[in-house]
Amino acid sequence: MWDTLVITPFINALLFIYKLVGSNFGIAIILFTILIRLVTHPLMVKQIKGAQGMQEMQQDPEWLKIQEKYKGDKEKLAQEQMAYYKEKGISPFASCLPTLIQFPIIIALYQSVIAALVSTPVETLNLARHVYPQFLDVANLLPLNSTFLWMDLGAPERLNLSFLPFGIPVLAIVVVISTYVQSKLIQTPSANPKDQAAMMSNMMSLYMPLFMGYLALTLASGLALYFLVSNLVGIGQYALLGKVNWSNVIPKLPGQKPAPALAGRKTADVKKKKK
Amino acid sequence: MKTKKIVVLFLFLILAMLLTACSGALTASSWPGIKGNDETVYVTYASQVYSLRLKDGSINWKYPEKAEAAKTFFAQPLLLDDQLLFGDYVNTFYSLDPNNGSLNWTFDEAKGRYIGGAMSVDDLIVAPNADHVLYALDLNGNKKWEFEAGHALWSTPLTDGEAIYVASMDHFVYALNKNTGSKIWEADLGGSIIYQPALTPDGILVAATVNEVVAVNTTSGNVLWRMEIPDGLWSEPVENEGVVYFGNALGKIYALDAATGDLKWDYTIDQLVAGAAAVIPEGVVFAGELGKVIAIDFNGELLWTRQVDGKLYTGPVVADGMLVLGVVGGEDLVIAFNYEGSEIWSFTPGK
Repeated sequence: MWDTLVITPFINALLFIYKLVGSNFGIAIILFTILIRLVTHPLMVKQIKGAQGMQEMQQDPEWLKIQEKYKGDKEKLAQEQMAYYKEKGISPFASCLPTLIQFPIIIALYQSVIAALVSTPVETLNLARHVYPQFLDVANLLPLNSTFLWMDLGAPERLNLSFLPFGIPVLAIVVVISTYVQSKLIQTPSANPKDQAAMMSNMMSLYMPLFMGYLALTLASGLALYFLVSNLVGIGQYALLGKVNWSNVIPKLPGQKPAPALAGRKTADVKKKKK
Repeated sequence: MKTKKIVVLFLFLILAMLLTACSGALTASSWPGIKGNDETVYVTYASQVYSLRLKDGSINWKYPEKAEAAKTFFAQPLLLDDQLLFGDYVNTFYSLDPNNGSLNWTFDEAKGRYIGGAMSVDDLIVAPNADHVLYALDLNGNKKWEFEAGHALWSTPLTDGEAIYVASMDHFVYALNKNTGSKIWEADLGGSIIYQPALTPDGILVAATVNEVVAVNTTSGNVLWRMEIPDGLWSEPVENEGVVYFGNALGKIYALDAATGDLKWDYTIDQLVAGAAAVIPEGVVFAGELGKVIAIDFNGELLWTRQVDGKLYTGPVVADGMLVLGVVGGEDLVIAFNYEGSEIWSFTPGK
C-alpha cells in the first residue's frame, strides 16, 4: 500500500526528472528535493504559524496571569486554557499536525532516493518493478548514472586528495554545518532561562547536526546530498517567511544591540499599540 | 534535565537505526554465488564463503573464520586446480586454497564491487568490476592488463580460447585480445547487459538486455538477429546444442534457435524466471523467483517441478550429477537435488 501509493510515484517522479536533466542523478535529487519542499511549503507555513502562536501565548501577560491565578487548580487551568485558545484562535495541533503530515513525505523521499540508487542486479530488478512502463522505459534508463561531481551517489562520499592518505568526508561536514546553521537560524531566543522548550531546542540543535552528520558519513552520498539540499531549501523557506534569526549565527559587532526575540517581537508590537 | 537528555539521545539512536535499516546503502544484497566440482561446492554469500562436501552438504571450511560486516561476497567463485577466486562487495579480489580456505593472495586495485564472477583463459584470470574495469591478473595476482568499459561490468566474461568477450551495463559487448586487453571490436546492443551472455561453439554470442535478446557474430561483432521480450528479461541465456534457453519476467520460458533466433518452443510458469538454466542430460532446469524449480525436456515437455522456501534469483548449478541451488530469504541457503528432482541435502549457515 505504502509502496504503491507513495514510494512508486516518488521513484517515477525522481527518474522522470533524472531523464529530463540529461541523466544526472545529483541534479535530479536536488530538483526533486526542492519540488517536494515546495509542495509541502503550505504545511510548513501552518506549522510555523502554529508554533509562533504557542510561543506568543507563553509570553502573553494575559495568559501568564491566568496561569498564576489557577496554579493550584489544574482542572480549572485546563478549562481556561481552552477558552484562551478559542478567544485567540489558536489551535494547539496547528504546529504538530503539519509536521506529522510532512514526516511520511520526508521518509518517502528518503526511501525513493535509496531505491533509485541501484548498484546491484537485485536492486535494479526491484527498481524496474517500481517504474510505470507507460511512463518510463527501464531499458532506456539503464545504466543509471550515479556519479555527481567527485561522488558516487550510491556509496558514502570521501574526497580523495593525492597528498592525503585518507579521504575527506566533505559532504558529511557540510551537512553537519548546514543542519546546525538551520537549527540555529530558526531558533527563537527565550526570555526565560528556565524555559523547558528552549532548553530542549538547544539540545536538538546540538544533537541533530551530529546525528545527520553520522548518517551522511555512513549512508550513500545521494542521501547526504538530499539532507544538504533539504537544509538549504529549509533555510531559504524560513528566510522568505522572515522567520530567521541571523543574529543566532552571525557574531554581534561590538556595541551592537542584541536582536529582539522573534516570538517576542509581535508581543512587543502589541504592547506598543496598546499604549 | 539529565533524564531528558538521555531520552533525546535514545530517540536519536532509535531513529539512526531505523534510517540505516531501511537504507540499501549499507546492506546491499544479492544471491549466493555457487561453483562445484566432483567433491566440493563453494558458496559465496553475504559475509562468508563456504566450502561444502558435495555428498552431504556438510561444511569443510568457511572464510573468513569470523565474519566481518564490511566484507560481503556474492560474486560466483572461479575454481582452478589450486585456487578459488572471487571478489567482494568492497574492492578486493581473493585467491584462496580450495582445500583449506587459507588465503593465497589478494588484489586491491579496483575501486568498486565485484558483482560478476571471474573467468580464466590460459594462465590469465579475468575479473570484471563495477568500477567499469576488467582486470586481467596472472596466477599470482599481479596485474597483466586492464580494459575500461563505459560503465559497470556486472557479468562474467567469456572466452572461446582466442578472444575474451565481456558485456557491460554501458549497452556494449566488447571483444578483447586476451594477451593485451586491446579491443578487437565492440557491439552496441541497445540496452544494459546485466547477465553473462551465452557463447555457441560456432561463434555466436547471445546476450540479454532488459527487454531484448541479441545474437552477435564473435568474429565481426555484427548483430545477427534480435528478439524483443516485451515483458522484461531478468535471466541469463544458456546455450546447448544450438538452442538458447532463457525466461522472462512474466514466467515465459523460451527456446530459440541460436543461429536464426527462431522460436522452437515456449513454456509458461507463474513467476519471474531468474538466473541461468542448468542443462542436465534430460533437459533444462529453471528457477522461478518465488521458489519454483522446474525441469523441462529438450522438446518443451514438463519433467518435474519442485517448490523451495525462499526466493531464487539464480538458477541451479550442475556439480557432478547434482543440481545445487542458492536460496535467498529461506530457511536454507543451499539445496542440492538430483536430476530427478529429489532433494539430497540442504545447508543452513550456523546449523
